[in-house]
Amino acid sequence: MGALTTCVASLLSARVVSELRVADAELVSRALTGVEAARAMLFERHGARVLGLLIRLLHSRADAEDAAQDAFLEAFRDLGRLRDPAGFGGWVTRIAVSHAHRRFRRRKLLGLLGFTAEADASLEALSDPHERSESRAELALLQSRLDRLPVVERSAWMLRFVEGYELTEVAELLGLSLATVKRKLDRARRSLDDAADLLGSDA
Amino acid sequence: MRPLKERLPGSEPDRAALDRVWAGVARDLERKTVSPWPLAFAAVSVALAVAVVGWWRAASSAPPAQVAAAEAPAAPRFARVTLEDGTELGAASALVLSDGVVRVDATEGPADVRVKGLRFLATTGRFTVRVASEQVQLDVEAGLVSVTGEAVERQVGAGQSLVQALEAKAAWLPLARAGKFAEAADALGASGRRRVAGSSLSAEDRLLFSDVAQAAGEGAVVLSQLDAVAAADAGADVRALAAWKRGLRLSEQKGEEAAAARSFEHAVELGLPGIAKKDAAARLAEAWGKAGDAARAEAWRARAAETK
Repeated sequence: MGALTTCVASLLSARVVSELRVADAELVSRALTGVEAARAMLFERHGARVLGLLIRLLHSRADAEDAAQDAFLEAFRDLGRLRDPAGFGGWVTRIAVSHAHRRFRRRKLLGLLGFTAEADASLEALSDPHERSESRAELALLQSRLDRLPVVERSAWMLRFVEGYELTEVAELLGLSLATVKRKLDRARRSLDDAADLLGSDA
Repeated sequence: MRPLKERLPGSEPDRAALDRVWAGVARDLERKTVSPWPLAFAAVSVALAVAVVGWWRAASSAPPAQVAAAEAPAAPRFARVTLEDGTELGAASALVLSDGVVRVDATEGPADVRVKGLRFLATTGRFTVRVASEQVQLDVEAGLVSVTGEAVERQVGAGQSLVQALEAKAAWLPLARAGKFAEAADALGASGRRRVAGSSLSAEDRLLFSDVAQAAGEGAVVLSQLDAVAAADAGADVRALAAWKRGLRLSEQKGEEAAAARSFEHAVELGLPGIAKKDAAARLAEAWGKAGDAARAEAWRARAAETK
């Protein structure tokens, strides 16, 4: 225990980060053989992107951190099921989106019970503080319209226009057909009405 | 089409958030395995990550040509990295250091150390790199180290030292002003935070720095900074905000509810900006209630009810 304590104390005083030049596929294969560092490196490589996506999807930093934790945990525990080890990034993103959906549904239930979820990361709150007040108001309007959309429509719209994924990628992330995604996006666009147009997102 | 996320800089997660998530993942994975030391787990895995890079490289790639030609590389073929206190971090061909001190023994293999825009390359020899908030110091014990960066390109030999100033910038302040306190804390590093804590700052900037210290988990520094703002020759609104924050810290960090309530009262006396009087009165009622002073709690509750 003493040696470990010393090591922890040392790492707190000197921050050393390994250079990540090893391919995902190799990291996955090492992680499968129980090399803990390989998992750490996979998280180091994909954690920020996944957590950022969840913050934008869930509008709550605490929820996003919990969902990211659950997603990586599930990804590492089910790593053996990953058919294409090079596709770890997309795989963990799909798991993260499904965890976001679970949280949306739980929030809906809590809402019915009279509890409101903490939303400290609305689009407006995440925007540049120096952005024009009109732009911030537009984001607030968009947020309020997004909040009223069904979960899958909202996710499809956000993945496409907030995250910038291609239609085929949105379909893959949501586990839907391309036709269904197009239909969901069309419905979302009609519900969002002018709120999306104001942002010039072609949405 | 430009994705909307590019207009949402606040959604970029900071290092502290990522560390929290990874600590949770590592802890839960560890429960499934055997180790009884959850605190050590995340940090140790970083050390292992460094070691594994070296191991992979040793297993899968040849060392740089200039080394291969000169010396027959023997295991471990990569430099040994040791921390200031003697802890062996392992073999690594390349590493990035953001803070602290590392000693690199490159007698058995090459080393490539990168520090904030500077690169130290050695094909053999031993050297130490010390990183502070404003400078990087290289001390070469044996061999020759090549140093490259935007403002420097030179070779440092055995017995020589090089002190290279890092770009002088108060990077933490714009980050703190944008509400990115954890990033500001990272930008400063531990030594930088110590320096800023003792430096001359305006009351407003010191108030911001208290949030930076808070993000770094330095509770004692937070309180000392808030005390300094309260005692400063600053506007009543700034001092009121400092007193209010001090109350929150005393309550949440130390559980000193009576002291917290007195600090809240001081903030209200000074004229608290940005917080509704009703909310302030309600918080005071809660604090005095927790402190066991029912009469004061009731008085503030009544004020909260009266206040619009």
